[in-house]
Amino acid sequence: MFINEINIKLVVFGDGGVGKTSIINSYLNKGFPERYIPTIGSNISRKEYKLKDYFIRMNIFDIGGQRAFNPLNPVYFNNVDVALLVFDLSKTKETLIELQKTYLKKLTESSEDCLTYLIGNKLDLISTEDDLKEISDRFSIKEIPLILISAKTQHKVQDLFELSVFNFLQDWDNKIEDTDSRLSEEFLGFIRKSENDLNDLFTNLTNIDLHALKKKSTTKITKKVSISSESEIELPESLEKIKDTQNQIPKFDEIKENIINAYSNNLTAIKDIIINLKNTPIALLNEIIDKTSKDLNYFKEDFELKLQSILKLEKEKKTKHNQKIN
Amino acid sequence: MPKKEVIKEITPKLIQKLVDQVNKLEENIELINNELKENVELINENIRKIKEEITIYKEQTEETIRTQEDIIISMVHKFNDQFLLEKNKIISDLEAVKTQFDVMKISFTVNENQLLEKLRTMIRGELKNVITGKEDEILMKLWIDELKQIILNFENLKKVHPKEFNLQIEEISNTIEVFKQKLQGS
Repeated sequence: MFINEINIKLVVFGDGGVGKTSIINSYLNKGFPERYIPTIGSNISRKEYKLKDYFIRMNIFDIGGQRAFNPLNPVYFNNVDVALLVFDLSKTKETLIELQKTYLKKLTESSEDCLTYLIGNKLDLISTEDDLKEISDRFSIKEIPLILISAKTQHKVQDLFELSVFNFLQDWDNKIEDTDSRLSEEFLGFIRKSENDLNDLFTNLTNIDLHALKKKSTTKITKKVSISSESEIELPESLEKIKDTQNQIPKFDEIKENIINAYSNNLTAIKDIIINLKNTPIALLNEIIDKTSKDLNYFKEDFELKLQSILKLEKEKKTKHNQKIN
Repeated sequence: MPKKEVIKEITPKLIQKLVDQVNKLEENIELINNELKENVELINENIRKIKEEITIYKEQTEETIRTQEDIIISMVHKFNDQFLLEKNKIISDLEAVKTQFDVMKISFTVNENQLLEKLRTMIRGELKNVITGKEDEILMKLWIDELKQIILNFENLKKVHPKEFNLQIEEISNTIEVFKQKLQGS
């Protein structure tokens, strides 16, 4: 029985295809996907750490970046503890600008005090320092720490999330001001890393050494095995762009399975939110009920989006099937 | 009124006259008596005749009444017999109808059950055809409807007693868990 429970809301933002889901999957050891499957709406995963007197639960919100999937749903931006703003190092120009223009702006409005990191993914695709210099030219908000990772090679992925928890706990310790028990230090002991190890993640744009960056990279690549032998299908309009840009056609069953898993994960998240109401102090109860009610409405939109996507996929599959018969 | 004759002296002539008058009176009385006697006899005769007639009439009437009574009693008996007969027949018919009704009822129940079972099988089959491959979508849709209901009633949580509050929270949480398990199991 844990005395205290700490819930961390970590949200991964970024354009479609930058690798948000792959980063999370890599962190949760779910393997690297064979082909790109867009996240419909959101998918909430969780990672739990059991410290001596604390139970730390990190709720990871994976937000589908495609505009058709409503990535700007307010539920994603409210009460964020940690935000990972992910861009694609191989497409810095397009993906970084969008982060600044939309996500960062909205995040600042809704969760001003959250810990924010800029994450450059797909480091494995970068071959020269010049590729990275573009970030320095493009990115004007220097105060946000930059971390370069590769979901594919799992380079720095684990560290990134551990750093997020560590920094969150540092803030927590500062608020609690209990000198006898510092959770952040206890967490470092738990993950068997030092503060310097974690701070090592930050990249200094003025002095980039790509070789040194990649040197630490592991080559652990796990591929997710395709579960379906079904023939490839056309995608609904909302997914059509992805097919063009990625030149890959996801299989219907994989997409559907992904959506259903995400739907199920979000049910867990809602259940946690509801159960946590029991621990709410009476003085704050009305306020929290109002907030939860709003969150439930946002989640409802997300559930509806997922259902509509599946229905569209089914329709498309049927059309394709009929075409084949004719 | 005739003027009374005043007797001044009783003479033999007077006596004779009185004797004659008495005799005459007696004759008259005798005559009247006889006449009366005759009349009485006549009346008696008449009375007797009337009595006889009455007796005859009475006997005739009694006879008629008895006859009528007999007829009526006979009719009543006949009616009763007929009624009993008809009643028994009806009871017998009713029993037959009742038996038939029971048979029909059993038959109907059997048929109804068979029909319902057939209908159920058909509906199940049709539903299965419609649902097969769409279980997830149906569950997702059901949850969205349930969530809408939860959101609709969420405001009420502010007003409930803490014990009731916890119960409702548990109920919502259990509902979510059920949907989650069904979704993962489908």
